[in-house]
Amino acid sequence: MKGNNPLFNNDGNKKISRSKYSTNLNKPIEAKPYNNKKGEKLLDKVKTEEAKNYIRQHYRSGAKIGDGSTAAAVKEELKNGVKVGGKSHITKAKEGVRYINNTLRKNPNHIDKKFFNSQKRKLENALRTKPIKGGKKQ
Amino acid sequence: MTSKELNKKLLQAVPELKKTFDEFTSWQEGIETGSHTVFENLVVPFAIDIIENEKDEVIKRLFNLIEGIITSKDEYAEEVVQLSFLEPLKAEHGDEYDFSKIMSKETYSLFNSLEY
Repeated sequence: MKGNNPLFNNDGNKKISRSKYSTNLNKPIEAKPYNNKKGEKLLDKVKTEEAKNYIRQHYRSGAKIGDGSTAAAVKEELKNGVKVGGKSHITKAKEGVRYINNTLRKNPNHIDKKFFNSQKRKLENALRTKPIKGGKKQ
Repeated sequence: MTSKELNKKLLQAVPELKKTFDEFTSWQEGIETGSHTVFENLVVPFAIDIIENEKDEVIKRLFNLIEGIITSKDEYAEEVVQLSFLEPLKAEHGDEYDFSKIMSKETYSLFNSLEY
Protein backbone atom coordinates (compact mmCIF):
# COMPACT_ATOMS: atom_id res chain seq x y z
CA MET A 1 0.00 0.00 0.00
CA LYS A 2 3.01 2.24 0.24
CA GLY A 3 4.08 4.23 -2.79
CA ASN A 4 0.94 6.13 -3.83
CA ASN A 5 -0.60 5.60 -0.44
CA PRO A 6 -1.51 8.94 1.11
CA LEU A 7 -0.82 7.51 4.58
CA PHE A 8 2.89 7.23 3.87
CA ASN A 9 5.67 9.63 2.96
CA ASN A 10 8.00 8.84 0.09
CA ASP A 11 10.47 7.38 2.59
CA GLY A 12 7.84 4.84 3.66
CA ASN A 13 7.26 6.39 7.09
CA LYS A 14 3.77 7.17 8.29
CA LYS A 15 2.68 10.74 7.73
CA ILE A 16 1.79 13.03 10.57
CA SER A 17 -1.63 14.36 9.74
CA ARG A 18 -2.08 18.13 9.66
CA SER A 19 -5.49 17.86 8.09
CA LYS A 20 -8.30 19.77 9.74
CA TYR A 21 -10.41 16.66 9.11
CA SER A 22 -8.14 14.38 11.12
CA THR A 23 -9.39 13.02 14.42
CA ASN A 24 -5.78 12.70 15.65
CA LEU A 25 -4.19 15.94 14.59
CA ASN A 26 -0.39 16.01 14.87
CA LYS A 27 -0.10 12.28 15.49
CA PRO A 28 1.12 9.77 12.90
CA ILE A 29 -1.78 8.52 10.84
CA GLU A 30 -2.74 5.08 12.04
CA ALA A 31 -4.96 3.07 9.75
CA LYS A 32 -7.49 0.91 11.58
CA PRO A 33 -5.98 -2.51 12.32
CA TYR A 34 -6.95 -5.01 9.65
CA ASN A 35 -9.42 -7.45 11.13
CA ASN A 36 -10.26 -10.44 8.96
CA LYS A 37 -8.82 -13.79 10.03
CA LYS A 38 -8.88 -15.42 6.61
CA GLY A 39 -7.55 -12.24 5.02
CA GLU A 40 -4.71 -12.08 7.55
CA LYS A 41 -3.66 -15.64 6.67
CA LEU A 42 -3.75 -14.82 2.96
CA LEU A 43 -1.76 -11.62 3.46
CA ASP A 44 1.04 -13.71 4.94
CA LYS A 45 1.16 -15.89 1.83
CA VAL A 46 1.23 -13.33 -0.98
CA LYS A 47 4.19 -11.27 -2.13
CA THR A 48 2.86 -8.38 -4.22
CA GLU A 49 1.00 -5.19 -3.34
CA GLU A 50 -1.51 -6.06 -6.08
CA ALA A 51 -2.45 -9.25 -4.26
CA LYS A 52 -2.48 -7.53 -0.87
CA ASN A 53 -4.81 -4.85 -2.20
CA TYR A 54 -7.05 -7.55 -3.65
CA ILE A 55 -7.24 -9.23 -0.23
CA ARG A 56 -8.17 -5.99 1.53
CA GLN A 57 -10.88 -5.41 -1.05
CA HIS A 58 -12.34 -8.90 -1.10
CA TYR A 59 -11.76 -9.85 2.55
CA ARG A 60 -13.07 -6.66 4.10
CA SER A 61 -11.79 -5.81 7.55
CA GLY A 62 -14.57 -6.50 10.03
CA ALA A 63 -16.69 -8.53 7.60
CA LYS A 64 -18.68 -11.13 9.49
CA ILE A 65 -20.37 -13.42 6.96
CA GLY A 66 -18.63 -16.76 6.39
CA ASP A 67 -14.91 -16.15 6.00
CA GLY A 68 -15.56 -12.44 5.49
CA SER A 69 -15.02 -12.55 1.74
CA THR A 70 -16.93 -11.21 -1.24
CA ALA A 71 -17.41 -14.85 -2.28
CA ALA A 72 -19.02 -15.64 1.09
CA ALA A 73 -21.38 -12.68 0.69
CA VAL A 74 -22.34 -13.92 -2.80
CA LYS A 75 -22.96 -17.45 -1.48
CA GLU A 76 -25.16 -16.08 1.29
CA GLU A 77 -27.09 -14.02 -1.23
CA LEU A 78 -27.62 -16.80 -3.75
CA LYS A 79 -28.18 -19.58 -1.22
CA ASN A 80 -30.40 -17.82 1.31
CA GLY A 81 -31.56 -14.74 -0.56
CA VAL A 82 -29.93 -12.41 1.98
CA LYS A 83 -28.04 -9.41 0.63
CA VAL A 84 -25.16 -8.77 3.00
CA GLY A 85 -25.28 -5.15 4.16
CA GLY A 86 -28.44 -4.72 2.07
CA LYS A 87 -26.56 -4.67 -1.24
CA SER A 88 -25.89 -7.35 -3.83
CA HIS A 89 -22.27 -8.53 -4.05
CA ILE A 90 -22.78 -10.38 -7.34
CA THR A 91 -21.55 -7.63 -9.66
CA LYS A 92 -18.60 -6.91 -7.39
CA ALA A 93 -17.66 -10.61 -7.59
CA LYS A 94 -17.96 -10.63 -11.39
CA GLU A 95 -15.80 -7.52 -11.60
CA GLY A 96 -13.30 -9.23 -9.29
CA VAL A 97 -13.01 -12.08 -11.80
CA ARG A 98 -12.47 -9.57 -14.62
CA TYR A 99 -9.82 -7.77 -12.56
CA ILE A 100 -7.96 -11.05 -11.99
CA ASN A 101 -8.20 -11.98 -15.68
CA ASN A 102 -6.80 -8.58 -16.66
CA THR A 103 -4.06 -8.76 -14.04
CA LEU A 104 -2.90 -12.17 -15.27
CA ARG A 105 -3.21 -11.14 -18.91
CA LYS A 106 -0.97 -8.16 -18.21
CA ASN A 107 1.49 -10.33 -16.34
CA PRO A 108 1.14 -14.03 -17.21
CA ASN A 109 4.05 -14.90 -14.91
CA HIS A 110 2.71 -12.93 -11.97
CA ILE A 111 4.47 -13.94 -8.77
CA ASP A 112 1.06 -14.36 -7.08
CA LYS A 113 -0.52 -16.14 -10.04
CA LYS A 114 -1.45 -19.20 -7.95
CA PHE A 115 -3.20 -16.99 -5.40
CA PHE A 116 -5.11 -15.07 -8.07
CA ASN A 117 -6.20 -18.25 -9.84
CA SER A 118 -7.45 -19.70 -6.59
CA GLN A 119 -9.38 -16.50 -5.82
CA LYS A 120 -10.87 -16.53 -9.29
CA ARG A 121 -12.11 -20.10 -8.79
CA LYS A 122 -13.51 -19.13 -5.42
CA LEU A 123 -15.52 -16.25 -6.91
CA GLU A 124 -16.71 -18.33 -9.86
CA ASN A 125 -17.82 -21.16 -7.55
CA ALA A 126 -19.69 -18.69 -5.35
CA LEU A 127 -21.44 -17.25 -8.40
CA ARG A 128 -22.70 -20.78 -9.25
CA THR A 129 -24.35 -21.22 -5.82
CA LYS A 130 -27.88 -22.60 -6.03
CA PRO A 131 -30.66 -21.30 -3.77
CA ILE A 132 -31.90 -23.52 -0.95
CA LYS A 133 -35.60 -24.22 -0.74
CA GLY A 134 -37.36 -21.67 1.43
CA GLY A 135 -34.52 -19.16 1.26
CA LYS A 136 -35.35 -15.69 2.53
CA LYS A 137 -36.70 -13.42 -0.18
CA GLN A 138 -35.68 -9.77 -0.37
CA MET B 1 -26.21 2.77 -15.04
CA THR B 2 -23.30 0.89 -16.61
CA SER B 3 -19.65 0.94 -15.51
CA LYS B 4 -18.89 3.11 -18.52
CA GLU B 5 -21.56 5.65 -17.58
CA LEU B 6 -20.52 5.72 -13.92
CA ASN B 7 -16.83 6.05 -14.79
CA LYS B 8 -17.63 8.93 -17.17
CA LYS B 9 -19.72 10.59 -14.48
CA LEU B 10 -16.84 10.23 -12.04
CA LEU B 11 -14.34 11.78 -14.44
CA GLN B 12 -16.71 14.63 -15.28
CA ALA B 13 -17.13 15.45 -11.61
CA VAL B 14 -13.46 14.91 -10.72
CA PRO B 15 -11.27 15.45 -13.79
CA GLU B 16 -8.23 15.42 -11.48
CA LEU B 17 -8.55 11.61 -11.59
CA LYS B 18 -8.27 11.37 -15.38
CA LYS B 19 -4.52 10.73 -15.62
CA THR B 20 -4.49 8.08 -12.90
CA PHE B 21 -7.66 6.56 -14.33
CA ASP B 22 -6.16 6.32 -17.82
CA GLU B 23 -2.98 4.72 -16.49
CA PHE B 24 -4.80 2.27 -14.24
CA THR B 25 -7.40 1.20 -16.80
CA SER B 26 -5.00 1.03 -19.75
CA TRP B 27 -4.24 -2.62 -18.93
CA GLN B 28 -7.84 -3.37 -18.05
CA GLU B 29 -10.90 -2.35 -20.03
CA GLY B 30 -10.44 1.40 -20.37
CA ILE B 31 -13.57 3.40 -19.67
CA GLU B 32 -15.53 0.14 -19.35
CA THR B 33 -13.41 -1.12 -16.44
CA GLY B 34 -15.70 -2.23 -13.63
CA SER B 35 -16.55 0.66 -11.37
CA HIS B 36 -16.08 -1.47 -8.24
CA THR B 37 -12.47 -1.91 -9.32
CA VAL B 38 -12.11 1.79 -10.14
CA PHE B 39 -13.59 3.04 -6.87
CA GLU B 40 -11.63 0.63 -4.64
CA ASN B 41 -8.30 1.13 -6.36
CA LEU B 42 -8.45 4.77 -7.37
CA VAL B 43 -11.21 6.74 -5.71
CA VAL B 44 -10.64 5.58 -2.12
CA PRO B 45 -6.91 6.54 -2.05
CA PHE B 46 -7.73 9.72 -3.97
CA ALA B 47 -10.37 10.65 -1.38
CA ILE B 48 -7.90 10.11 1.46
CA ASP B 49 -5.31 12.19 -0.38
CA ILE B 50 -7.62 15.19 -0.88
CA ILE B 51 -8.89 14.94 2.69
CA GLU B 52 -5.36 14.80 4.03
CA ASN B 53 -4.35 17.75 1.87
CA GLU B 54 -7.54 19.71 2.56
CA LYS B 55 -8.44 20.16 -1.09
CA ASP B 56 -11.85 21.38 -0.04
CA GLU B 57 -13.19 22.26 -3.44
CA VAL B 58 -12.34 18.80 -4.82
CA ILE B 59 -13.69 17.15 -1.67
CA LYS B 60 -16.95 18.99 -2.21
CA ARG B 61 -17.21 17.90 -5.84
CA LEU B 62 -16.41 14.26 -5.06
CA PHE B 63 -18.80 13.99 -2.15
CA ASN B 64 -21.55 15.84 -4.03
CA LEU B 65 -21.21 13.14 -6.67
CA ILE B 66 -21.43 10.44 -4.00
CA GLU B 67 -24.50 12.08 -2.44
CA GLY B 68 -26.12 12.30 -5.86
CA ILE B 69 -25.51 8.61 -6.49
CA ILE B 70 -26.89 7.58 -3.11
CA THR B 71 -30.09 9.47 -3.74
CA SER B 72 -30.30 8.44 -7.41
CA LYS B 73 -31.92 5.04 -6.84
CA ASP B 74 -29.60 3.57 -9.45
CA GLU B 75 -28.93 0.02 -8.24
CA TYR B 76 -25.47 -0.49 -9.73
CA ALA B 77 -24.13 2.96 -8.84
CA GLU B 78 -25.43 2.62 -5.28
CA GLU B 79 -23.79 -0.82 -4.93
CA VAL B 80 -20.47 0.59 -6.11
CA VAL B 81 -20.60 3.55 -3.74
CA GLN B 82 -21.62 1.46 -0.74
CA LEU B 83 -19.48 -1.66 -1.25
CA SER B 84 -16.41 -0.19 -2.92
CA PHE B 85 -16.18 3.35 -1.58
CA LEU B 86 -17.93 3.86 1.75
CA GLU B 87 -17.14 0.40 3.15
CA PRO B 88 -13.37 0.65 2.61
CA LEU B 89 -13.38 4.23 3.91
CA LYS B 90 -15.10 3.06 7.07
CA ALA B 91 -13.17 -0.22 7.45
CA GLU B 92 -9.73 1.29 6.95
CA HIS B 93 -10.03 5.01 7.68
CA GLY B 94 -13.14 5.38 9.84
CA ASP B 95 -11.15 6.37 12.93
CA GLU B 96 -8.72 8.73 11.20
CA TYR B 97 -11.01 11.43 9.89
CA ASP B 98 -14.19 13.13 11.00
CA PHE B 99 -16.33 12.21 8.03
CA SER B 100 -19.28 14.20 9.39
CA LYS B 101 -17.37 17.31 8.24
CA ILE B 102 -16.78 15.83 4.81
CA MET B 103 -19.86 13.91 3.75
CA SER B 104 -23.29 15.24 2.90
CA LYS B 105 -26.29 14.24 4.98
CA GLU B 106 -27.46 11.06 3.24
CA THR B 107 -23.92 9.84 2.63
CA TYR B 108 -22.93 10.24 6.27
CA SER B 109 -26.13 8.57 7.43
CA LEU B 110 -25.43 5.57 5.20
CA PHE B 111 -21.73 5.56 6.21
CA ASN B 112 -22.72 5.40 9.88
CA SER B 113 -25.20 2.62 9.37
CA LEU B 114 -22.96 0.37 7.30
CA GLU B 115 -22.74 -3.26 8.42
CA TYR B 116 -20.96 -5.87 6.39
